[in-house]
Amino acid sequence: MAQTADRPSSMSTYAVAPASHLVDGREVTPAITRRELEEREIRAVRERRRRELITHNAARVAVFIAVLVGWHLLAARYDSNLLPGPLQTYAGLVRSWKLISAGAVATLVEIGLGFGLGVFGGLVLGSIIGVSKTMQGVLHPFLVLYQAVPKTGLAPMIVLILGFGILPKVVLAAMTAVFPVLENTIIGVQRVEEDSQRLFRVLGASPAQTYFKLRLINALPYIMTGLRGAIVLATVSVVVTEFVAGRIGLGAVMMTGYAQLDTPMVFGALLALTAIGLACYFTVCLIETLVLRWFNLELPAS
Amino acid sequence: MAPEALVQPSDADLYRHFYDHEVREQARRRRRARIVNLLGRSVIVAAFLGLWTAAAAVYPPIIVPSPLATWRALVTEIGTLAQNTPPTLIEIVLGFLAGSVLGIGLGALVAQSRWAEIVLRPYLVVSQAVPKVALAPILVILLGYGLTSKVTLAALIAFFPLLENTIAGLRRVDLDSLRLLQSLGATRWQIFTKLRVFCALPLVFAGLRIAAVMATLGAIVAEFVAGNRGLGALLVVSMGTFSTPLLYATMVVLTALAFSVYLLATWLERKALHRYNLAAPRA
Repeated sequence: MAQTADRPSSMSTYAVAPASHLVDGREVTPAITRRELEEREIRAVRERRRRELITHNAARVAVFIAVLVGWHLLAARYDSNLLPGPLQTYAGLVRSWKLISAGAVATLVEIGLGFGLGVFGGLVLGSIIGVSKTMQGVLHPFLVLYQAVPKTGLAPMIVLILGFGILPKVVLAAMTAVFPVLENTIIGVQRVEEDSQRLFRVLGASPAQTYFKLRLINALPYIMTGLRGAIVLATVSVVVTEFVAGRIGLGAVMMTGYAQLDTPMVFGALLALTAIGLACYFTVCLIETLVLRWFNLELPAS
Repeated sequence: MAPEALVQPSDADLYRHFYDHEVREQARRRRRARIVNLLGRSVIVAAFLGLWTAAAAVYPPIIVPSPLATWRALVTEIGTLAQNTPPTLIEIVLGFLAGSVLGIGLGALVAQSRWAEIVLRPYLVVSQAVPKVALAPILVILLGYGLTSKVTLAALIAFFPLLENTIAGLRRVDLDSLRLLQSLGATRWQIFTKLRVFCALPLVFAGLRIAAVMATLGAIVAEFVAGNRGLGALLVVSMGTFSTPLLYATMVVLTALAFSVYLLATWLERKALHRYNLAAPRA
């Protein structure tokens, strides 16, 4: 097993370090005290960690560069309208920057609105279902059905009803983002320690107080995990709806490029979309960290 | 006073009395819950159909057809629907198989080396956050309008949950068992086949369930983009030609298909966990 703790593993061996001892009848003073030895080991561990960090990051960068070079070499064998390389993709991004940046703004707004709406809905519904056993019993089969249905398949329907504007994208994003928040809120609201519940009851807390001061706070780590799932799903469904109703957004830009066989633009738009996806995801991760730290809750593993 | 009132009930009598009371009470509660559930569920289904009918009355039938019109389309267009279901099903199955074989295989390889795993971890996180379905147009340009592009997209998005879950599962080994095997002089391969694989199974099965749902999503989106056959293509085509009843009927079939896939995956997961006597991974 790799030793990951900050203490050297051999520390316990030096529990008693004599200032001097007898070897073959002669008094010998150790050249190094126990304390110095420990410090030396700690320093060695730190040094090794630092070195590992550098090598790991170097390896990560190397992987990235290798992928880029591999892509470049692969793309060099094809026509740039079939498979553009990294350079052509960059060129496409620059050339169609106006289109792509406008699309990126629209996509970002749609993701944000859909995500916000979905999270709000998930919190409210999840709280209701989590608190009320009756509601959970009644709604359970519908929740399973809702989870299993490919909601992105609803895109054409929603586009027909709501038109080609921003609305269908927001609605579908909210519809997909709602589920992970809902599910995690139910779990979090229900998994409250029995003792805390009893304490609240004994102290005569009202249901609202129990909910806001105990259940909701207890559910926060779960809810935050749900938010992470929700932002990914919101991004996916916004893009798919833009594919179907191509007028605004990066998905529409991609479909335009696809129809005109302007593949560098498709790749450029994909690059922008990837950046947006990452930015949204890490913003949510940041919110998660801040909220959990504010409430002094533990960050979930992974 | 009646003489029997003076007889003290024994502890056993009291116990039996309260026990029977509790049993009856529980049975009553269960019965009532069943009735409430049935009532509530009927109300929700009725409300859904009612809302749908109301929407159909408000909007022209070319935007929202009534449930009845949808049913009629389902009956009259059954040929078209039956023709377009097998391609989608094949894409889902092939994509699921390819994605899960690759995901489990690569996951097992990466998990062999702690170093590889640490180096690749940021990329795994990033792969979670990137909308992979957006690759659909690119895959179609590269691989054509046929089956290949759709299977590839389905496989690609089914791949990542399995990769992650396999790695996480193989790492999540019970430390005591590991020490025991090591102290008994087990080889690396023995530890892998006799311990790690079993510790990984719950997460791998959970990954397979997610992969099945993901493969469905991938197949549908790929058909949206490059559709000549399949249910996803039928959705887009019927939207474009304003044959809305067909669109709704297709959605019904698609829902049934996806739900069957999901139920099958959940059932297999439960069966497999039961077979190996394992607990489902905690959420």
